[in-house]
Amino acid sequence: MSLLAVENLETSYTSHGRRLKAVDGVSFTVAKGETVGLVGESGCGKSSLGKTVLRLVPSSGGAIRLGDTDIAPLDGRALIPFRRRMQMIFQDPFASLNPRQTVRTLLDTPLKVHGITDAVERESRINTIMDKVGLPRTALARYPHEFSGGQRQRIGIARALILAPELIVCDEPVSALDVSIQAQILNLLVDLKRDLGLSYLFISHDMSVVRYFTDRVLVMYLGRIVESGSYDTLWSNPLHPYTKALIAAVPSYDIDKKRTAVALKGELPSAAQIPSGCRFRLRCPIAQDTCAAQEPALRTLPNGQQVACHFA
Amino acid sequence: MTAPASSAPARSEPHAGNRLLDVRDLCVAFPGHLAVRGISFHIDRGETLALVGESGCGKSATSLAVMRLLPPGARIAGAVTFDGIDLVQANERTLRDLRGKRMGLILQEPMTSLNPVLTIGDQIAENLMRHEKLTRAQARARTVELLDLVRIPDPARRYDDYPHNMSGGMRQRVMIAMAVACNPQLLIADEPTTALDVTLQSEVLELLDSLRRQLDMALLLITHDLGVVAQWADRVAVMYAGNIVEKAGAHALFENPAHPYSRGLMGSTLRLEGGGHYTSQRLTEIPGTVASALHEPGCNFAPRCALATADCRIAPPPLRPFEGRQVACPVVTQPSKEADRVAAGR
Repeated sequence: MSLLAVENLETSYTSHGRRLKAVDGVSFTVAKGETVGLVGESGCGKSSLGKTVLRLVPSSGGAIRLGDTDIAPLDGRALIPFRRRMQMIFQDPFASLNPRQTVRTLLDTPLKVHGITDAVERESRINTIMDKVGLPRTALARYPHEFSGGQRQRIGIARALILAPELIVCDEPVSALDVSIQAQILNLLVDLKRDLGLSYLFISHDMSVVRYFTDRVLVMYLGRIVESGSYDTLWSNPLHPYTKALIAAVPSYDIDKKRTAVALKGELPSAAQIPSGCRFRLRCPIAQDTCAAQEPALRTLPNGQQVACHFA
Repeated sequence: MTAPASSAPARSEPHAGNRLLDVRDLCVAFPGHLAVRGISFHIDRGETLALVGESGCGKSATSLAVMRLLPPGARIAGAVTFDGIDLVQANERTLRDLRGKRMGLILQEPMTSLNPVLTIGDQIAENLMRHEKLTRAQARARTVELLDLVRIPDPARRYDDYPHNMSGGMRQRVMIAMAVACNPQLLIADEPTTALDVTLQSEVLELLDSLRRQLDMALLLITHDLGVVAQWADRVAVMYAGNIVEKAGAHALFENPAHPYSRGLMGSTLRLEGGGHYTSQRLTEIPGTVASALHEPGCNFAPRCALATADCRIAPPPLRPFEGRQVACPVVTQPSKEADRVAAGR
């Protein structure tokens, strides 16, 4: 059984009196021990999806099953036992840590909130987690500003892990970091996954990172999943024109390789003005009349790959 | 008062016919911090030089020093010569005539570089009226041409838009139009695509490259992204903690990076094609952080370097010619047993 099963999830915001759907009918699963990547351009709804799954923003439709419980309708106190099972690592380790709290307080507070009253046990958990993320214990008495970006991200990871969760939503965890530090953090996340049997929902705009780090990938466009597949089929055989364009846009390290022409026209439209039919058709190089009339459904192919395109 | 140097013909040493920018022993110091520690490089007319390095390595300080746009309190030493003009000694008036006319600058975040209360058209036209002495009507017509050149749809209508009316990609195009308005000889692009989506990144870089060819500009491309370097640069200078550690043709660098830092940077960079997967391959890490360079008397990279010897910690190594490039690493350039052993193990 899947650890997480999201069914037909919707998230909507109200802006200037208009309702817009940032996430519009998304279904997927994350199995125990699996890393699922979520890629797309800024504004496609990937962060909204991550936050909705964790119930940090309310959903407006659909189900979020963690184990066998649908947590979408739960509120307040009823959610607390589920919160400790899923945590989040944020993009910006400068903005996501309270500058007025020491590392010890940052790690101790979640334990207190979740009812671990024994101070000795809290201390031992904190020490264990510091060792796991590769921070010295002397760091506990210090404040976030005293650390470099990479170390701060380690603190963010320690805080996410302190409650021994099963699922971690990583929202662009390495995109604010330098290349050499990025490798350190990705290696750490791989080690932690192996040691602790974690599952990740890994949100990123960086195709190379997703290619390396995930088992299965969801490609998101304007609130919908347009393609999904295992990491190797998606790169070797992308079917949706949007996925193809995303992959073609990554600059190649092969210096002899001719740059491929840019296939995508224009930019991601606002979620307030969703085109009729296929949402991608205005930028699509192969769009035809059918695409304006009818929205393509997400079809599942025999190899498990899913795609939402009339012509793929 | 002498006449502005910009009006004088390029007076120069014999070999400098093709040389546009020559930077020698440039140091940039902020109060309490030496950001650039004596670097030298040059750019020829029409070529693209990439300055690569991680945050804090001094690449942006270098670009601001070349434009003489460093904040008050910062000090520069060394020589920066642009087409025969000494930029370090140049007075404010000479600099004003150069900036925006013969040297353009594009920054990472277009929202903070554009004036939010002026229309984007007026911001571009201002440049043209100031430097090209165009009338308002002429400047407007030329601006519309420029907006068209950077592929902004419906340019005549967009002239009267404010920056907040535009998306990030469009704003970066406005910045480019502004920077190339007076056909500069040198365009400095400081992380021009870092704030943009990957789909826009290649489009904006392709645009910069085609403008470079059309207008015969030289491009100083400052970036941390090696993929960008591989695709768009002719030559590369790799910076680490205020020093240039390797200067090479882009081809040579990607074939075979020589300096241990260049190797580490390449090794820890993820690639889309031919890249590994976490289940089978661990990423190469560069251990430690840049902060270790702070009080290092010898090679800045030595505290993080697998090849470092005791000699490396004594004095900073100079750049030396090696296999058609320049490398600041005595261990690599004069192969000892140790370097051979490690190289063989790679």
